[in-house]
Amino acid sequence: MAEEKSQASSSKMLTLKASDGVLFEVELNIAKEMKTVQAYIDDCEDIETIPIPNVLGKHLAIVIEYIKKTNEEYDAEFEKQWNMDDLQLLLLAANYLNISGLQECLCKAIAKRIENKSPEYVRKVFNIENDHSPEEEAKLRKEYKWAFEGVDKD
Amino acid sequence: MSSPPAKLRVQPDDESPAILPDELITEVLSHADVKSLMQMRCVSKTWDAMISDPKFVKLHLKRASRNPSLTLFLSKSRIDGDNNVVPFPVSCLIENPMITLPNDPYFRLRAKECRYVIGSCNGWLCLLGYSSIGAYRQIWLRFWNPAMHKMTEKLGYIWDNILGLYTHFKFAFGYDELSETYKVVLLILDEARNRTNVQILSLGDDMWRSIQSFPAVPLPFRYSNPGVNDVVYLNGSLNWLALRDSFRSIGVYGWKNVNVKEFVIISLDLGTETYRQLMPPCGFDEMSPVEPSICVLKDCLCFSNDYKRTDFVIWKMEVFGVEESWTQLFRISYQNLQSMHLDFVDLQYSQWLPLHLSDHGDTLILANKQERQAILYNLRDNRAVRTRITDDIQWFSAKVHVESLVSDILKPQVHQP
Repeated sequence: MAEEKSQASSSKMLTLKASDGVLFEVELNIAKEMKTVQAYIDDCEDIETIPIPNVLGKHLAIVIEYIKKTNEEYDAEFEKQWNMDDLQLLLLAANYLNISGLQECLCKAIAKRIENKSPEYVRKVFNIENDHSPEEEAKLRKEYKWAFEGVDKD
Repeated sequence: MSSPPAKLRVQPDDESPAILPDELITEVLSHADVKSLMQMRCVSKTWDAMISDPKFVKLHLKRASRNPSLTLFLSKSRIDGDNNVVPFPVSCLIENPMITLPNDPYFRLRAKECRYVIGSCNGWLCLLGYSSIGAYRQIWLRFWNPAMHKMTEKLGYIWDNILGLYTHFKFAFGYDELSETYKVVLLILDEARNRTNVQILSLGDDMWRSIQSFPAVPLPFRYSNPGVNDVVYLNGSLNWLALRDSFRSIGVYGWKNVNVKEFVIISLDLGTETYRQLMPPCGFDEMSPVEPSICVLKDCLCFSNDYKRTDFVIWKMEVFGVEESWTQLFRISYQNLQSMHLDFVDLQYSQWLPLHLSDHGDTLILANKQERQAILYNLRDNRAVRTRITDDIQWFSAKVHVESLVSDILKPQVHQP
């Protein structure tokens, strides 16, 4: 689980503990990319193990990998590996941990996957109930008829 | 549904999906395209309100500005001499596809009773049309947001004499953030009185109104169609390259008589409607038969000139309005720009116009008056390739354009106390 970056030999290591108890040993400079963790370190200087109660081990692993490898090429391929549920969970994790680069990457990825899909599809993705009356919805569909042309099949 | 911080289901086997809080949904949606967002208004009442909210429209516009298009202007297209304007994403242009633009009637201007694109602002294109009545032309404007399928009526009617539009009129389109008003500015060359008159139309008003005359002579004043890029909109101001001093008719051959010191950039603040004069970079110290130009790259005012017919130089004003902040951005040798296939083209004698600089600063899109194609110049390895779109595009009319949700640009005049 722990991967050391080749350069920093004398860099301090930190342990992050995911919500399901999985432990990750990371270098300080990696952990600092998570602004939430940075704030934690600023508050308690001697801390060695930081609890991350909102993020599962499997997602924390992905987040740490992202921080280590992020660049234009990596980001372009990154989101392709995950299904919609994981993308949303990762977004929640990135948001909680306050990693702006990852948050933006994930928002873009999710947006791309819901583009040109039917409203029903989008509702399922985000678990949203339709509270439009049939008349209201019909009115919108009529007013923006052009938007509903050539929609991807669900 | 507001619950910061967002809580996840802890058990990994739990079937329930993640629930994104509103702020994250807003952020996700701000990256979606306009067509999809209009569909998503049907998702729920909350989403309908979210997407129509002016704050969201602004956020979306900000994101979209990082992914702009160029409006490709096709004159005398395949269909009966009609002009077409097709927004084409820069990211796609840089990949240089060999394609022919689709012949979509949606992008034809004649059906909109217009001929040219004056400018683009916040997703709205300012179109110009006219009809000839005897020795005069009646000119009008029309505003179109192609992404939103919204278009205004014809407005801003104005008359010229039959020569005026192509030689003595210059239109410009911009936005004043403070008053949230879109404005069109018209420069009218008045040779007899040795001055340039200026009129402004605030969208929502009925009439053009005069403001203080232009403090210099705008360039270029020779026959050119109204859609050609000769003005730069930047952060609430419109900017023209001009010559100071008394009025002179600058013909095609007049450059030899022009002194470098006569060049000035006139900046019109769209809020206060007052002028400011900015000096070009002091590094531009030698005249050349090739006309310099101004443009916007990476949200900064830029000045480009020929250097001794060997190089093309682009300067950037790092801080707008601060003349000491002019820095040389690029110096590109004409040799690097020369096409392998077109060695009869004398690039060093024709005018250049930078159109766009990519985010990471490695690709510059350049247009040259002599060439049909634009140039994609890779700044890292100094290689130039030509674009491969087969249509005949007027690159000097290409405007930077974004997709926006802005649905209403006509504002009734608000009387300030």
